[in-house]
Amino acid sequence: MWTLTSAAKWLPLLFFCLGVNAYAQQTVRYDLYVKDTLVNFAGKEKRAIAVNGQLPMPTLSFTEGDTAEIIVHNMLKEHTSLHWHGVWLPNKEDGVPHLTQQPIAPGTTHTYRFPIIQNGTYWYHSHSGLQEQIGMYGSMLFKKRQDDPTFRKGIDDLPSVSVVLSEWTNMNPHTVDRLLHTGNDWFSIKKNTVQSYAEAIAAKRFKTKLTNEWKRMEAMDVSDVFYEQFLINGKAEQQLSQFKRRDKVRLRIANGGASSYFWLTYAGGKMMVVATDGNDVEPVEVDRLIIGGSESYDIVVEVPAANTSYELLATAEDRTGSASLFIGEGIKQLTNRLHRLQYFEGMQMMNDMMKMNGDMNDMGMDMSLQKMDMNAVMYPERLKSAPQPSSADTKNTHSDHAEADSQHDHHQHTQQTNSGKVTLNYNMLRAPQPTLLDSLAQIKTLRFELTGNMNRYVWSMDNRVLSESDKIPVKQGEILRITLYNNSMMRHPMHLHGFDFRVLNENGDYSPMKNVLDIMPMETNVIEFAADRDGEWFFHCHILYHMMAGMNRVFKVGEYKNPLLPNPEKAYRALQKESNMWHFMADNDFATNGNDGSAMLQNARWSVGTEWRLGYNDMHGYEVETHVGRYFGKMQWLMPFVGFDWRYRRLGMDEHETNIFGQTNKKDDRGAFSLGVMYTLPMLVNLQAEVYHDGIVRLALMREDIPISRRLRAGFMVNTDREYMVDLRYILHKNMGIRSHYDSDMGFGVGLAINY
Amino acid sequence: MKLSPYTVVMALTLLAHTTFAQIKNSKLATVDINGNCGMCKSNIEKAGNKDNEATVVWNSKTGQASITYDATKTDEDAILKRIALSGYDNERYLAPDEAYSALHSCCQYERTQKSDDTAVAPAEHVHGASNTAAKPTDAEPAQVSAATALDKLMLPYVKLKNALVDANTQQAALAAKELDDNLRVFDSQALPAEQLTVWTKEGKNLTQAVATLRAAQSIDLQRQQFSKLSHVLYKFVKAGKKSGTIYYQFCPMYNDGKGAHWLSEKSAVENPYYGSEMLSCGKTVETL
Repeated sequence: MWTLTSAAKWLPLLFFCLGVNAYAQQTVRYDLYVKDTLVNFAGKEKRAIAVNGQLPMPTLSFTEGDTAEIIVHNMLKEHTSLHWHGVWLPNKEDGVPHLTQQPIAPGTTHTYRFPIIQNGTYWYHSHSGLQEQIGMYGSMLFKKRQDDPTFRKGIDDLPSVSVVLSEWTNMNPHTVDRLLHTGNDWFSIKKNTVQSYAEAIAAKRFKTKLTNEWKRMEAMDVSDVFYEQFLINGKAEQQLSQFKRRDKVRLRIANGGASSYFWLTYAGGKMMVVATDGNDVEPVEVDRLIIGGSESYDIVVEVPAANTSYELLATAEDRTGSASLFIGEGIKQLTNRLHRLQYFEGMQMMNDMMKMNGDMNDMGMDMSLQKMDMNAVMYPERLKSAPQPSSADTKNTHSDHAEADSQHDHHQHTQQTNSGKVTLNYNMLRAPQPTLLDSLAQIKTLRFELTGNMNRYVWSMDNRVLSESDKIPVKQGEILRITLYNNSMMRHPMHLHGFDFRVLNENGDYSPMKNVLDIMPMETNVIEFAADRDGEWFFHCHILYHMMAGMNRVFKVGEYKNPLLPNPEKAYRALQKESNMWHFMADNDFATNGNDGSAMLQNARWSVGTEWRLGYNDMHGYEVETHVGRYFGKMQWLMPFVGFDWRYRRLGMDEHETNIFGQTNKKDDRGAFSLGVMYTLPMLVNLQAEVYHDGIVRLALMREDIPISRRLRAGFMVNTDREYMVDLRYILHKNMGIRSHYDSDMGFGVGLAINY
Repeated sequence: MKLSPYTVVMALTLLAHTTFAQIKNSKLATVDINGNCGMCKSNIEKAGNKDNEATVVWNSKTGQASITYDATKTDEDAILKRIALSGYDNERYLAPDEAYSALHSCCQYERTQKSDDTAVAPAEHVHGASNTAAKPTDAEPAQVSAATALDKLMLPYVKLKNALVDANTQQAALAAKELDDNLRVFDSQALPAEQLTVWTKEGKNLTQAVATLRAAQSIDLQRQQFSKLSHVLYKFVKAGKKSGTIYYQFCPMYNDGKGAHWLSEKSAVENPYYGSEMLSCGKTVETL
């Protein structure tokens, strides 16, 4: 664990906590001091947030029956909050600023107090802004009492170690967020996943790439952000040398990464999964499992031999890196690395699954519960070329039509198609006790379609972001049965605050309880829970940048008066605003023949943008176009706008006073209002049609950022005013490139293109 | 232009400079890395080397590597981890089993670093180190004479093998002669029943192989016959009581990849089919 030298300061405090811990069923108090700090995880000193001088935050442990009293001292210059992930508690202790409490202001303290009524592995994190990305995550452990009737000998009495996985980027998370929204493909360049035309040709996949762009998709990937380092308990590698030969260890693993999924593999044999999201499951042995964003899994591993430590490897799903935990003493036995994804295979798969209108087409495979990992087509280690539809679907309670669809009744479980190894999926999870809900309770059914697009990085449910959605009213005690369908191209770890839900699978009455549901593209899953705790509970995608983009809902259970929020309506508006922030971007090419640039302010739906072409003399002219538009549709290919153009030019080169429709178009000193529409055509070409107040019509076709090679981008523009432009840009840095272009107004130019 | 010696020296100095000055802040370390042969050497070095960061030079005889690295950019752990991931056990990391199995069979060195209970060993593969069972002290007379009978074959055989390791045709011929002479006066009646059965079946092949070997003029012919001889001798030795002192070893590359066996008095591999060309290629497949 990374610790400040000043940690010694907190030692008395630690002893104090331990002292209190010794008494069961008591109030267990933790004081958490949240403070700015500098860390060096990947070659550079960067800002992070440390709690009690450490990152991740300290592990908080309680015994079921205790009362937790956690005092947060905000020593930051910004607001903060702490959310207790997966914990059942009174709504006002849930830690979502603007929903269950006011943000904890700088320099103030806030006390969370709640009884511990569960046992298992949990974790906690900041729910404010992007603080989770820079260190505000930590493990929480609620111990099961010895006399608990569900106490499992041989599992619950094993030595256990809390493990929190995370990732680190040297980039300020706000910059990460902005780059995602501005369509900057810097992360792909860093990850070497640009999938450019040159690379496609080299891989004999030109047609695949062409089809991909025809279907208006950008490069295929399984994650959005490039991370320099992946961490286990704050370190890239560490060893638990206290364990010896034949020792069994229970690892309580929580994924505290802001946007990463991790594959877990172990060098010392099989891993036995015994719990997930704090809930016991019947032990199941696997060779590997994926832990989705914010999920937790408890696994039992054994140290097979003396004088050897065995590697537990956590590999980011995009396989750009990994972190290792060695269990045992002595020489380190490594486990095989997961090799780079074969992206063009994935692209081919996406082409097959994507309809022209942007909807996903599962080809009748009734996908659910992680049983069919379509990403497996990209795994180099696979033995079979493609995942097989699984028979298990036919028995799912929710897919009524599946029985009839016998053509997909292959008796083959996909968890075993990869080199005969067993991969965990949700269908293999079984609760030790029946989890049936009260059969007399009223049932409310809801269906959500997870939607979104990569092009503008808007993530939503039913194509509505939080700021376009009201709270969903639920009667106290009602059973909420929710069908989730993922119609987007990314997987989403959907997390429900305040409750555990049943994940309906083949185990029927014994369906497992979870509070995070990973749902892959094209999957349909059903979850249900009894809404028996009043309050306003957040339901959202736990990929931090998806959450901030608006992929959230609020369930308003019963009539709850939150003493911390005197004006809940106003607070809700603040919450809505936070998940639909305006993003600013600008670029300018300082070229030999003039300045070419634009500035834009955008949120999930609206765009205010202005473009300019400023020559260095009157002959080249000056031109500014401003558009205010709104995007429509799930894929946001359509944007009607109003605009204002102004241009001044003394007749210079390439003068055309008429457009191709024969209309006279005075270029010298012209100001004009326009109404228009922008539409994204196949091949990602934008068609822009405008009518000016004086009746002049202009049509334009344009495309930016055609990926020629990993760092080379091409673009063009042509319009009915007989103007045209072609350009080539070589990307040097996330904010800089060299650009050369030819413009019908201003001629040939070379310049330095700066973008923000 | 005429090159003056001075220019040449200058050029060479510059060249040397650029070659050796690549790694800055260099630190030197010597580490143990398991491996067998020339192919292992290139695998290990390829895995460990990184431009301007680390240079690994591995010695197949000592099983040691000298590592030069830029201490500001990397450390021994990172380099040894890379090497282990490519399949080679070393003093800090053990290779993943999949990586080890993926090595060319020639490179599948004996995994002495692995702890006994997990070593992935073929059924007949016994570690030399871990199998030093003491010989029975109260040996019966029959065993004594059998042992001497066997020695009469094994001693010249080992001489022959070592001569082939050294690629010394003359010494090999002398050893072959000795073996041949001993065979002529070999007292098969002193053998225990199991060995006698083998002898009756295979004795002829053995004598024939030795006779041809004795007549062989070149090292290549000697080695060819040696592989036949070893094959028969193995059956014979195996039929006797195991003492754990004879190692049956295998080089998968000889004879166009068909491979060949030999018997050795020591567990460390010294390849009689290639000698110094590929001295440590091979592995112990059985201990007799």
